Amino acid sequence: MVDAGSFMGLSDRFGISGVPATIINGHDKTVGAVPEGQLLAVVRRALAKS
Amino acid sequence: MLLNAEIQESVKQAWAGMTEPVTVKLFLKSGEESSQTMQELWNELSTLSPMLAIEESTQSPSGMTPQEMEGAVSEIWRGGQFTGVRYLGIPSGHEFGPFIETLLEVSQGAEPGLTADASTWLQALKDPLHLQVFVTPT
Repeated sequence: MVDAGSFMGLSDRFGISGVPATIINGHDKTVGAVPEGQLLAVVRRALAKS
Repeated sequence: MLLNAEIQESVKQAWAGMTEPVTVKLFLKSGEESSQTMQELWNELSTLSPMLAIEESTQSPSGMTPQEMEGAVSEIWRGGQFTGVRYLGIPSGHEFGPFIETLLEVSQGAEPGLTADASTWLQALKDPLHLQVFVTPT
């Protein structure tokens, strides 16, 4: 978990403008409290690029 | 004092369910606001359960450079192993309750609230998976 207010540099690096925002392996992002299936789909896509 | 008597009592009751010791490795940045706050918060929280130990460090946590260390980082360890749970900054406001609950679940070795299919798939992963969840606590 990242408190965006205390880690503003990290937040800027990932272009965080809404929360919760999840960054996967430093390059993929999903915003909002997404359902499990949707989050796993993003994770699968991110891992395929890694 | 950051936690009033009512909150202290709530945390104490919640953490009475801890079953195994948990260690928090607290990485601090000298003179930085969240570091001062987290040092004070952990000092107060450590008095609320004999299962909680705090280890302070002025180094950077694994995988982070000193430049990336913008504020306090709290790592949760159990049984001498890093659990993979890190909190960067201050778990204030509505983040505080889930944060207290997370420490309890780590102590108890609780299973994550995922479907069986998701758990099986994640456990079979060979490559590293790093999730950073950004929140604004207040």
